[in-house]
Amino acid sequence: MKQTAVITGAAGGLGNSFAWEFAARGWDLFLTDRDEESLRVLARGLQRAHDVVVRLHACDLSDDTDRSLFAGILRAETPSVGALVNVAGFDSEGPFVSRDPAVLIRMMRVNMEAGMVLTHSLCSFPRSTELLRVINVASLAAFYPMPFKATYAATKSFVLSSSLALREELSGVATITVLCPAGMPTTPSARRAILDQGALGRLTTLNTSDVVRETIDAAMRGRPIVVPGFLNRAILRASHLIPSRLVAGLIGRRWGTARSYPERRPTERLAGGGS
Amino acid sequence: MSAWNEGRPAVVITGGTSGLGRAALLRLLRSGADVVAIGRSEDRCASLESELQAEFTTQLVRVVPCDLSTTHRTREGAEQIRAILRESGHLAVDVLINNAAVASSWRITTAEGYESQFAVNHLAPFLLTNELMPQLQLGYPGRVIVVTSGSHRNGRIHWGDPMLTRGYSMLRAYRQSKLANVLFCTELNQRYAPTGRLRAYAYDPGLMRTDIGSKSTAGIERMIWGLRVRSPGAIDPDVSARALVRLALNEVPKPDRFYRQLESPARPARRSTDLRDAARLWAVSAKLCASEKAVPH
Ligand SMILES: NC(=O)c1ccc[n+]([C@@H]2O[C@H](COP(=O)([O-])OP(=O)(O)OC[C@H]3O[C@@H](n4cnc5c(N)ncnc54)[C@H](OP(=O)(O)O)[C@@H]3O)[C@@H](O)[C@H]2O)c1
Repeated sequence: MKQTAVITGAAGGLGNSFAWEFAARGWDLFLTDRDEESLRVLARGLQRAHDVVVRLHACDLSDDTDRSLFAGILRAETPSVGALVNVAGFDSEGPFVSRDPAVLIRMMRVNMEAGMVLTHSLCSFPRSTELLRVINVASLAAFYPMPFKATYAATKSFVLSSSLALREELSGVATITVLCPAGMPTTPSARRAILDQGALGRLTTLNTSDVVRETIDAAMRGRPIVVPGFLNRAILRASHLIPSRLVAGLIGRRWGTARSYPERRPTERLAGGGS
Repeated sequence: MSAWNEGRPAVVITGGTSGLGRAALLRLLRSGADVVAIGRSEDRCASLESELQAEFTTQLVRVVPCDLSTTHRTREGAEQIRAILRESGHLAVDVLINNAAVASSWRITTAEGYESQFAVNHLAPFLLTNELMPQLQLGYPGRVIVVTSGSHRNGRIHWGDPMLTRGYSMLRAYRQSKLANVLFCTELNQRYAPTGRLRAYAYDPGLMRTDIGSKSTAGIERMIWGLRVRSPGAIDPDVSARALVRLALNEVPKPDRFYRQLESPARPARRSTDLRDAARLWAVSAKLCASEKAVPH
């Protein structure tokens, strides 16, 4: 039977590459993102190029009602769903105090909760004999505490940690593979950030379609973690030898200079704050 | 301007906001043509349009923002062009110059999931030309110019993976798209030259000092482009624009010499005139641009 891949955040650069690669492998698609028009445009391209069925459902994955509705639709489709790719997620980078807490909370809801809810809904009903292949997109940031991206990095750590645990618990039902990429040149601002990081940024950047292919292959074999790129793997291995407090310090300095964020000043206590 | 039966020729040019396209746009206007240009940035289009309208007050000058990276916007662009021309009394498009192009170190995908160089450099000219075909065939005869590049000679069409999901490199994608430009002209002439209603030309503008190689590049590729455009072999885009505008507005050269390098006819790569490949590319492109109202197969 033809299987369907469910992809969240499908309209973005990484999501649309996942959609393209699954379609090239003959899978039908069920795509979601916030903007219905973008999904339609992508679906049209995919259907012209590949002989596949593409369905779509636009929803806001930070919204409880929207999310439950979508999870319900998926539950009804469970038997035909062979893969779930949780791509939807975003970052709000910059000095913590200038972040809007409401945005950070929304980020936590999309980056952590959405994938968890959808995985739950697809695994909680009996499935056919085929294993469900879950791909969760984390980031290299999942491995370190990251100044200027503190909340983001923590949401990605959540994805990594819960995926590794659930993978054991759900064995026989689903495999879970976590993708931990470095920056990918999927948006103009991502490309600018890569340029800002100079030679290292350029070297650790990989073509999205290669990353996607490698990840799907790994998921089909049930592998736990994908860190694309030789250099990224080397950096990751090296960083494991250093205490994470020091890694955080190094990263803070690198990003601080690269994006010229204001120097971190000693915390100024606001009046009335006690002690 | 004796080639045109009445009044000013109506010329459409894409990528009019920088480089070769901008230089050619100016020259077209100085030659007295009515021109609709396409660009991608709203701001650049608006400021260029008002600048040009102040200078050329007695002819049609429009610079329309239209992102040529997706088929639906390209279709809308064609519709806008038709409407603008109709309003100023042109039923025909006498000349269409497909000039806009991109080069990128990164494999960027368009909203439709297509590789951006294939989409902008090849599919957009294919679709825009087909969308404007009825108007072009009212020309005397209509002229389609596709700006290609000498680098088409090292290009290959990757039939199994035209979007280059495997083994992407900037040059591989660029050369493929530029070879596709010449094959497209070959097929256009196959289909339309015998009717006497349309002629297609592939134009190689030479190495020009423009920013095309520094807009979306990094590392070595960016560096090499910098060195190339500063080399003594590189010409000012205005020099190339002069030859391009001559090709657009002067007596029609013989169709069997459809490939031009600057002022002179030249020989394109043999594989760019392969009739089977030309027909096959047309079919692939038609499928990738298909709408409910499909382009001719
Ligand atoms: N430079 C050379 O040495 C060389 C050599 C051989 C062939 N060529 C060919 O010559 C032609 C002109 O190149 P150039 O050097 O003049 O490049 P350029 O200066 O970068 O100009 C390219 C034009 O295309 C526009 N454009 C790009 N993407 C677009 C999109 N998605 N939608 C609408 N417009 C878009 C650009 O808009 P913006 O102004 O907003 O960027 C710009 O107006 C191209 O076909 C190129 O392949 C150039």
